[in-house]
Amino acid sequence: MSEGIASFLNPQELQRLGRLVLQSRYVVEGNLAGRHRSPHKGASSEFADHRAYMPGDDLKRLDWKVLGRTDRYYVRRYEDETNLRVYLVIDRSGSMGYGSGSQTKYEYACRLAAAVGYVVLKSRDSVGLYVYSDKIDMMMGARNSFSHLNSLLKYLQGMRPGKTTLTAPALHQIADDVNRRALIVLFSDLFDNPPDIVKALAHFRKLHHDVILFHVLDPMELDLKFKKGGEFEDMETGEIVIADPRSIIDEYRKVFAEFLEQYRKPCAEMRIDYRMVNTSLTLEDFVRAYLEERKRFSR
Amino acid sequence: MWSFLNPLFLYAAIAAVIPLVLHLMQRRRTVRIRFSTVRFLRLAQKRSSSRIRMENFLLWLLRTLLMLALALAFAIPVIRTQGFGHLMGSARRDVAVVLDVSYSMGYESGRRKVWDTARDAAVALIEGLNDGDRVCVFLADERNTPLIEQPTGDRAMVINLVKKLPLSHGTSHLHEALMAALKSLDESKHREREVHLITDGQSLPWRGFEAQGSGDAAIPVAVSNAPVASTNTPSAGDSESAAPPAGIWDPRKVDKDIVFFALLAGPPQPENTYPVDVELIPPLLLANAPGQLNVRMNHSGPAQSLAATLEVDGKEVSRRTAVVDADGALNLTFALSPLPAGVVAGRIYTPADGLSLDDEFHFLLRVRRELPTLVVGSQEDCIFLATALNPGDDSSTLNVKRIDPDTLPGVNLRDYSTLFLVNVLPLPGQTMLALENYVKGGGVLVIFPGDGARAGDYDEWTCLPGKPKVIAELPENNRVRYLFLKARQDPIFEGFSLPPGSTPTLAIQRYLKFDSLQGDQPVVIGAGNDIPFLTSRYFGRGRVLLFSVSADRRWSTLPLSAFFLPLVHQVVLFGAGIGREPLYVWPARSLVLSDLFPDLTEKDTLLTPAGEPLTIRPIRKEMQVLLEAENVYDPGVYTIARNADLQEPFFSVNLQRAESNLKMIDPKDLPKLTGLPLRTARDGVELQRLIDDHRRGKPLSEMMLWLALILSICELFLANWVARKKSGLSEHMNVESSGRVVGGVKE
Repeated sequence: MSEGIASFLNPQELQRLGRLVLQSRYVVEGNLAGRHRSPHKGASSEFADHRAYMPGDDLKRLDWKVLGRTDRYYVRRYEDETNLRVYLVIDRSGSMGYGSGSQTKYEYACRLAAAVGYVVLKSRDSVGLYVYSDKIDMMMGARNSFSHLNSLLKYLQGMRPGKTTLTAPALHQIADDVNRRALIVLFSDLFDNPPDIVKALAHFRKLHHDVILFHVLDPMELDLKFKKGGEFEDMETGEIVIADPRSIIDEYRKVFAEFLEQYRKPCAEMRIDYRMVNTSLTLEDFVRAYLEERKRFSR
Repeated sequence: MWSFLNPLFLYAAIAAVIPLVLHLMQRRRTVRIRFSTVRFLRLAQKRSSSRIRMENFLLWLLRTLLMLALALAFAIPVIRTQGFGHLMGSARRDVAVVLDVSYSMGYESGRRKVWDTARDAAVALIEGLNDGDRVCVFLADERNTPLIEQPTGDRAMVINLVKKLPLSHGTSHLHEALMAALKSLDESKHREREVHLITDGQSLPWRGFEAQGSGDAAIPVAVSNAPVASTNTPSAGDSESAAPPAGIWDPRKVDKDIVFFALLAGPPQPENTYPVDVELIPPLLLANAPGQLNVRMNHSGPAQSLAATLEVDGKEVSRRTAVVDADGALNLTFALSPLPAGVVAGRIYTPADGLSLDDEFHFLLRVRRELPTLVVGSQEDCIFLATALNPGDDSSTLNVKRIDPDTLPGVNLRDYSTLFLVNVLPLPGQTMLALENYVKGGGVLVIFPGDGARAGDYDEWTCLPGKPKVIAELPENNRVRYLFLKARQDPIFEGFSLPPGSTPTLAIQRYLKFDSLQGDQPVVIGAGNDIPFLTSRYFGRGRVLLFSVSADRRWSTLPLSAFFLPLVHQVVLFGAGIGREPLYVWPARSLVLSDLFPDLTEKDTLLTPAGEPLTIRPIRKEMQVLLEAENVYDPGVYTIARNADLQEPFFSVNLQRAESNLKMIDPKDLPKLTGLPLRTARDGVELQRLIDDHRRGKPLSEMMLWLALILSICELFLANWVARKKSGLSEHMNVESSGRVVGGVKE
């Protein structure tokens, strides 16, 4: 049995993903020089702004043209560029264990995370991992190595969906844990209290993290296309509801739309990249479409 | 107003619970499905619960109604409403018409007969039927003749037959005709059924319904053969003399779905006066002797004076008027002048009234020239009898001849109507055979025993009512005996009466003692309970009378008693034909003429009152050949054609007068009397209105099937609408392949 990334992605998928890049839309703080903008000014060729000359500044940074026109001393400042630290945050609550098709939402989320991690590493950025259910079950810092990716994927491979979920506290805890600006990629079905989760997401944004929210949903959860009714057992709480999906599908659609809107709208306001992931879609197509679009909007 | 032509299928309405049962069974067979979260299901269910309940309720309602509609459709409901009946058309129906054709229907009220009204109503009823309807017609006459026995759709043919219907001369039995009609409708259970009784409203035809299972109630007159033996009895015209009914009415056997109408077409207070019976005094009229005719008259209606006229031989003889009480009766007496010997036709008639058929009463007076009687015996033995038969009056028509026994073989016995044998036994075999043939030919043989014969001497006779076992002696203390008439109705006592309160008494010393007697009622007169004083036996067309005591004083004091003379005279009168040749006969389907007129031969030609030949045919009965006439219904005088020029009255026929008593029935009593929910009308218009009210309506089977179809379509539509393939949320969202939700999430 294959381990690590090979258990989530096959070589063809890896090859196609290798040419993609995950670009942060905001400045990030990395350890290494990289392609991502840094909050610090540095030696890159990208002009940032002018600053009044202060004693001690390197004269070679003095803008002579400005001095000639205004008799004032200004030095030229350039953007610093650093590498990207990407934290993959995966929800392994009980509800993530549901799957109407060949794979569960959790499995899909893990594969998606593997793909994202692979793309990140290929861009020489760092990748870290948080897995939570009702608490943070696993936490691995961001490193820029495939072996690190492999090891964290091995952990994922060994984990199964838990029972209950407490997403908001876990996210707050993660936000507090990531002390430098990074890209937070959240994989979850978000079946928790939306206002609390929105607050947790806002927490990330307050700390200047770039956040990507992959809302992983099974097609059956979206459309409720059951052919007959029965006793529906909640995978987290065990609660049982007798229902005929065909007769309540209209109301269900409204309820679920309201639920989605409770995330989509705040995310848009907070400039969180909210993406709804339908597990019926092909993983490679989704990742490719998403990264290309993100790259396009990041220019 | 609802009714069901096929109510058995109402049980199928139980199927209405099937949808509910299936629903409950389906709820039990739920499967468990693990789902990520049920909170959205719960919320959706909460929001849609009222709608789902409404949908389920509607589905249940539609399916239940569908089942009920199907069950009702097969039960063939029929709704009747006066409000919207004209919009609903009518059902296929079978109609039975029971038509009273008794002669009382010929009552004329105003210028129109009840029969015309009834016939027009029947025709209108049949004409009012629709295509597909069928009709049968039964005639409530004496024979309950089915005019159309099985329901037919050929209305024109039925109308044609009804229009040509004549009235019968008899009475009617509605209950029997109704039972025949109901039997005919037995095969029509899946159609609407109606029975229409069309009568004049007289109470008599309804009395058959009173039996109701007892069978012993007074029943109206049935077909009767000629009342030969009781022609002159006062009860001849009463219904009490009728025969028991052929069938017994039981309303519990009647199908409740059949609707009954009755048209009482007669006037509410008819009036009718009619002669019922005549009685001749003396019963045997002799030539040149006066007589008396008592006529019994009946009257229906209020008190009034009535008139009756006696006509003899076509000439008016006498007329009487009297006042009769309301619905009363009275006797009128007409004096008869001396008539020449022969058969004379007489007639009593009343002025024309509403019912003219019963205004005449025909009779025949048979006037005898003399009563030839032969007494065989010694002078000594016959002294008392000869004295009794020859009272010394020159005007007596008795022609009595006495001969000694040894001269009997040379006598032509047919010259005598009555023959007395007084102590002449034993007789030679040839003589005995001649005497038996005499009796067979219609003669009356009277035998007085005597000391000349032993008990065994009677054994050779075959015509005697019994063979004496012994000649018994009574002890002195037991000799006084009271005579009593054991067969008071026997024709031998026709016109015979004893003084009121008198009881014939005599002392019997010796008598013939019998082991057993032959015949239905062999003892005519008894002397106490143990001694049959006078026994009788019909033999051939004649009769043998055997006294138990001798005609002299040696055996009893009979010759000395006051009873002796009238008794022997009565026997002579009987021998001359009294009680055998009636004044008139009643109508009959078959009339045995040989019993009435022994002299009739097969070669004789009888003519009806209309002058048409009456068929006579021989029948064999009890080793005898009798002559019988069929369908003797027409009232009037029937004649016998002796030759081409000479026709003599032979017998007369009168209508039975039961129908003449026009006592009308109260329509309110009919439902209780018949046990049927009769809808009664007084005229054709009212009947038609009742029929229209009833027929406004139709079976709703077709409508129910249409309703079932509509319900099933609705159910199909609703069920499909409920279970339609509804679009999911993903079909309402615009989600790019990159996961971006474009335009927001809109349900």
